[in-house]
Amino acid sequence: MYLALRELRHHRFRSLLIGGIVALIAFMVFMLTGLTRGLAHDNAALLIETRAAAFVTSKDAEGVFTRSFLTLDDVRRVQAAAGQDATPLAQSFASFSNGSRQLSAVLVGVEAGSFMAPEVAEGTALRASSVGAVVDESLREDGVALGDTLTLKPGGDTVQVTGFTRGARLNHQPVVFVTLDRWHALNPRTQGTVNAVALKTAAAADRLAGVDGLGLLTRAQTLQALPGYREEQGSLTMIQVFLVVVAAFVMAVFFYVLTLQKTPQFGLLKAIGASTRTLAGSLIAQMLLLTVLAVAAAALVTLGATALLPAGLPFALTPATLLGASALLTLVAALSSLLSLRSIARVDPLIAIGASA
Amino acid sequence: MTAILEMPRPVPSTEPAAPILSLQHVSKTYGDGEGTITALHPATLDVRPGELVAVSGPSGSGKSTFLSIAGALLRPTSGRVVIAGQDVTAQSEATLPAFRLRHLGFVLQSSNLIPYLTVREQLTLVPHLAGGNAREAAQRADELLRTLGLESRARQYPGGLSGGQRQRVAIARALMNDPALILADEPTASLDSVRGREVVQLLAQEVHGRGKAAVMVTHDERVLDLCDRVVQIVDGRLKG
Repeated sequence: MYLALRELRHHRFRSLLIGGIVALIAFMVFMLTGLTRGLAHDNAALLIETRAAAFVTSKDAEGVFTRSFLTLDDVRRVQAAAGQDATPLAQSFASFSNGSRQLSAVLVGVEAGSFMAPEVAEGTALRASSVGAVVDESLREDGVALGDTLTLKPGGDTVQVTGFTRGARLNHQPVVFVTLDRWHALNPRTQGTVNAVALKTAAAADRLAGVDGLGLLTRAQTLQALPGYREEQGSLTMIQVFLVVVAAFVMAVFFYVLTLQKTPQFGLLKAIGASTRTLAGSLIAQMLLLTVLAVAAAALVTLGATALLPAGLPFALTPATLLGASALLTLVAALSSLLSLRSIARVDPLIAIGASA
Repeated sequence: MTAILEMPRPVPSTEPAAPILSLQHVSKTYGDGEGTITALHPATLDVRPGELVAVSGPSGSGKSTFLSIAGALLRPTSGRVVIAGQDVTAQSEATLPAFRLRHLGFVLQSSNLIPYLTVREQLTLVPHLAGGNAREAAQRADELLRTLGLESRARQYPGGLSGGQRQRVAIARALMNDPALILADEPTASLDSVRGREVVQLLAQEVHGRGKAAVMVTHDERVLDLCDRVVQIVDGRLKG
């Protein structure tokens, strides 16, 4: 640390530049992480925050609810095997008007009182006899209020908003929850079928192993099967991975070039009696110090920036995610110092003698 | 060259102090078989406490090889190197840096100081590397800076010093660990004759005053008169 600190302090501008690059890259990684998480949440909060551990669909649906059709007989078979921990689920897309605006949503039918029934943040929860709907609170931004009547189009059926719930979005659309009976009434062609059965525990999923003709996917697998989800997340994740790799390269090359330039100095230090271990420790200390400071600065700026983001932008960054991404960047910095360590180890103290004769 | 041979019985009263640096038939060759190049023919040299020995010769004569071997930086092909009573040639490679740190002081020609350390820090670096007490190190550094007239420069960086001042700092640094042996590599290389003489005078004064042994490699004939002994090295052959 003796050498590391003094060198960084003496070459302030240089330290600031490299720290700045690392901070900018870290800032981009953080913002993209927030955006990735935000989009994931916006796309599929229903599946991310659900209490279900797995979903049963028909075998050929490969986990896509809208492609899956289970008969009530299938549902009974699943429930017989899995017990209380299984509840049917129906999903369709709906277009409706709240009087002033034309909106769209995912209409989900659930059994009132089941673990898939939405928890209300405001209003009343679904009851077995309910004909109204509990809707995602993101609809508030579109002017939907408690007690509003939504007119489904085409058809003109109406549903009254009786409650708001949080974190219910699917396919980038708000979810409108109704009871399974109401859902069947609104979707007359689907009488006698549901789209999936949600299983609350992995144990319930295990018990289902013997039931033939059905597809069983875990919650995570279902998420990946959601149309568009993997593609959207994949491209954002790819950008993040690239940024982290670029950060690693920038730091590795920067410190490598500096190390090569300082070869005579390392020769001198070794001649005096500094061990390779001391010099390597100094380099790693420098690298970590710079990275930690730069990443911390970037994290602060990110936290500040999130306050300025427009409300509608899907952005979600928890402190845990921020810490995780920071740790990853710091680890990458430590690894990228390996390139320089090799050349430090190779410096021969002999070069200090007769160096510029 | 003083031919110090194995004496069967030391004569107590007239016996000079034991040499600090003792090179015994030390040679260095590169390559083997037909393509062998001899950088240093078997050489024997003893340097005693309080003695400044100049090794003088043209470039390419083997001065650097000689100094590297004497400084435990390079292993000789044959012969023994004994520094402060320890056979360096018998020590393992891994222990040599620590040995240099404790027993040797180096004054080198250029890139001699660390650019981002102040004059005072150049000095305290040595005990720091050796894991010594920081307060003692600071005391010793201040004392040396005072003795060598560098007090006013203590907080400056090498970039702001003249060539002569830098070499004075280098001499102070070489004395920091209280080494038995000081090795100087062309300390006057980039200095004019007045500054060059001053630097060697300072070196000689410290060597005599503190009872150190010192070897200075130089091709600067203007400073040879300040040394206690001059050995010539030509084409890898040492001549007393």
